[in-house]
Amino acid sequence: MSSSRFRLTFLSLFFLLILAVPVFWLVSGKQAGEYSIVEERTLETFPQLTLPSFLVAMKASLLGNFERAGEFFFNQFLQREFQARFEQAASDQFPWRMEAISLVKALERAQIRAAYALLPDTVLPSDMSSGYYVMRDGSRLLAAPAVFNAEKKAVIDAGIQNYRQLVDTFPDLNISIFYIQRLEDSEYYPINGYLSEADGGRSIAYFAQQLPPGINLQKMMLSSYQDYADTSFKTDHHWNMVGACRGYELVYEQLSKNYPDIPPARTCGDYTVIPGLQFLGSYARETLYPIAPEPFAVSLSPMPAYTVLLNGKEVQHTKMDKYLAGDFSRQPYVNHYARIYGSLSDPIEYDFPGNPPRNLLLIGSSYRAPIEPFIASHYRHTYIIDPRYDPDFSLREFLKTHQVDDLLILGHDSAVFGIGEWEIHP
Amino acid sequence: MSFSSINFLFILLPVTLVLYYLVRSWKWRNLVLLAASLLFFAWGDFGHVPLLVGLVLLNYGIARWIGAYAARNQPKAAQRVMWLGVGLNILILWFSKYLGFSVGIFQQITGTQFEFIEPKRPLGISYFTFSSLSYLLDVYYGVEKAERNLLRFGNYIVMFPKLLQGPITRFGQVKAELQTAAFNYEEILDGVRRFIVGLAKKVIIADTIAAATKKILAVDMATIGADVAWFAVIAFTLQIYFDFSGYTDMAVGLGKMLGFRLPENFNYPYISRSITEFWRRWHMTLTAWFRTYLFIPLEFARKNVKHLRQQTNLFIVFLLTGLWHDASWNFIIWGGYFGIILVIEASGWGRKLKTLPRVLQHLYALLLIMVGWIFFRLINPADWGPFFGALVGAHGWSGVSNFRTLNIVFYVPLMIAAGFLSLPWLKQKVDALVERSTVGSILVDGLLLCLFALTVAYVLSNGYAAFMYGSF
Repeated sequence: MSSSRFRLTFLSLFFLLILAVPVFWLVSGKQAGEYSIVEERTLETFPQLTLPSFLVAMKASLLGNFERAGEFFFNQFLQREFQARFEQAASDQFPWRMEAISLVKALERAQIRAAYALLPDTVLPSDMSSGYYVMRDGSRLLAAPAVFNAEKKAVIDAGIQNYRQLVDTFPDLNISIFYIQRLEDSEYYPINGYLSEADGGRSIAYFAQQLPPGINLQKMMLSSYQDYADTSFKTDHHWNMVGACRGYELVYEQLSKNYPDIPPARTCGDYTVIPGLQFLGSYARETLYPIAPEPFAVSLSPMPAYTVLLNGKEVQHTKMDKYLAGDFSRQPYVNHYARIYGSLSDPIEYDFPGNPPRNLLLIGSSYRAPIEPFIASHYRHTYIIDPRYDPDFSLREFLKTHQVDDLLILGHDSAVFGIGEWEIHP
Repeated sequence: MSFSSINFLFILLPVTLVLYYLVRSWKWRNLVLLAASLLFFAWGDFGHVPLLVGLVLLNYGIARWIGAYAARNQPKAAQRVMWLGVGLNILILWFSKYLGFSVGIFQQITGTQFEFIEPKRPLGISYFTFSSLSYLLDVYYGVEKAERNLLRFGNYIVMFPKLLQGPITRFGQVKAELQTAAFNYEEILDGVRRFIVGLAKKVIIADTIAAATKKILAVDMATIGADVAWFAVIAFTLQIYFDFSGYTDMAVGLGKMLGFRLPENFNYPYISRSITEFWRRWHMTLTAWFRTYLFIPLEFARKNVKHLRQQTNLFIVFLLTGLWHDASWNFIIWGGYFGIILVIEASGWGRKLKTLPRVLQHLYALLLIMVGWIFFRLINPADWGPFFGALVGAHGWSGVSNFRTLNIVFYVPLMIAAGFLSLPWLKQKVDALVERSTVGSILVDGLLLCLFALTVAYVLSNGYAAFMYGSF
């Protein structure tokens, strides 16, 4: 074959590449948005300009109703709404998109390995954009180390101020805080030595020091890196069942100080691995790091009869039964944590009719999910609130309509410090 | 619309090229190109389409007017019309780009305070007004005849390969191609190659390194040490070159695909041995524009000035070069900084510099270029002191914000590769290989196709990232 033929082949292949994609879009013609498990969002589809909407806009324009015409047609372009949706759709509907992104991630990992080849770091960035890390041997994905500096102090101070207000406003309420230390907040994060502002447990120490009297603080602290590895998923930011059960035991200890007649602790440690479930958690999802999936265990401790209510109606909140029966998606990166334990955003209520008339308001992050029923089993009514999903939540208004004896705030640092979306408005 | 966006690469580009190649008359080709260019502009800046079209009509009309007076041998009248056209173009540019800056200065001088909403800046305004100005001046000086065909003239101003970021092109450089419908297969092939290289430079190198500079410049400058400060300067030096030269490669490549030979804008500027040489290699079309339409006329206009004429003219030109980039003090100072160095080099230091060992000449030029980029990148002058302090170790070799807190270690291999690619060595070797052997040519073309696919993967992975020079 002559050189010019090869050149023609090169040109033809280039044009084939750039023409194949629009042809694919035309042929595939997706109307309804497909859900992306990895990105946890509905993929954008190409917006369409219909002739009727165009004609209506033109007519409105001719009749001098420019505002209406503008709403219909022109604003879409002036504000770039149409273009932005179109661009997003072009990217979302691109053939082999996820494969392309995975390829780039693989190249990024190679680049990272090259950059760290001569450095002694035991953890490396997992990729170049997510901000997550991975143990050098690839055994576990980690969040970025947290910092403790003047800025963080100021944020904690604001949270403390809010707690002072809570204590002053509701002097009869038993307020407890349960803090869960994560590796990134602890002194065991492997690269803390390089970071002068690494948290290393200083945030919680400062918080505990500033906390006003009248609030009972319980901490679940890590004792080593291995402790973290034992109590957390290797691909997800949540604690595993071992960690959750240890947390429950500490919460029980905290509650039992107030109530000597509290029902005995549940035997949380009866773990059952969900058969066939290959769990790749949030870290794996966000980094696309090629890490082996891990088993997902739940606790099947015997519980007294109870109901879960949502807006006053009984609901089947968790999907644990379905999972144990093998009825779940086998696709990688499915958010099984949220699915097994039920929606984290629902303001549900646990009702244990056989318990003494003591009620709990549990405000907390997603760490609460595996142990919610265990904690609730010590109360008659337990109300669950996640402030992230209920930004208008007012404690005062809530207490007007609900009899609450105890308030338990449970979670990781920002949830417990009451930072940003976690702030509890008195 | 950006050249590195999916909708350009896989919708506008293929559709335009297919239609462009299918039609065989230059009139239809111009129509296809004009429609594609207006769509390209409207996609990013729908609201300013009337301004762009208005500027085309205005300059078309004024050039014809100048031409008519010139034909009737009325140079004074032609000059008046030329000044009217130049004035209107500059007024539009000032209103679009410099009004807010001027109001700010006015408020500072007079001590007044009033609310002022700055008009949204049209995309590529500096580029298409400079193209218009060069055209009017070329018509006035008789270098070009006023174009009679509005379609051809319209395409000269708005053709999408050069519309938003140049290269700043003179009418004479594209005039012939605007009225031919020749199909040059070798040019298209070259254009595709050039486009792929430019796309990869922008997406894989510039956008990746941009993330590193962004991380560093987001922190308090007082918290970085000398290590990170130097890393930031080197990173930005590479980023801006690969971003802008990548764009130019794409523009020239697209031009070739459409049958145009757009002028070059870069010639390995970082191998320069003086700042004078740097400005012969960096943004060459802008430098040429200022030399042709400002420096040379200034030299003539001030020919009776006996002392430091060339030096002051140089300084004025570079102050305006800085101002051209944006209405901000840091750009004016950036221009003034290079103006001073050029004046010093023109006053004898340039000759002495040539007697130094070549390594020292390269180091001298590179160091001054990198320092210049600090003024360019740090818009807030309050950051300059802490940043220069960090460069000389005032905050220690390593600060609180270090390589690991900023998570920038992994950019090092790419930056080393980018540094290597900013030298002509590899390009010379590849060109020689393609020239010498068929196998080499096939290999290079195969690699380019893979590079294109990889770059698209990066586009999908990174999402959209705007070109740095798009805002100028």
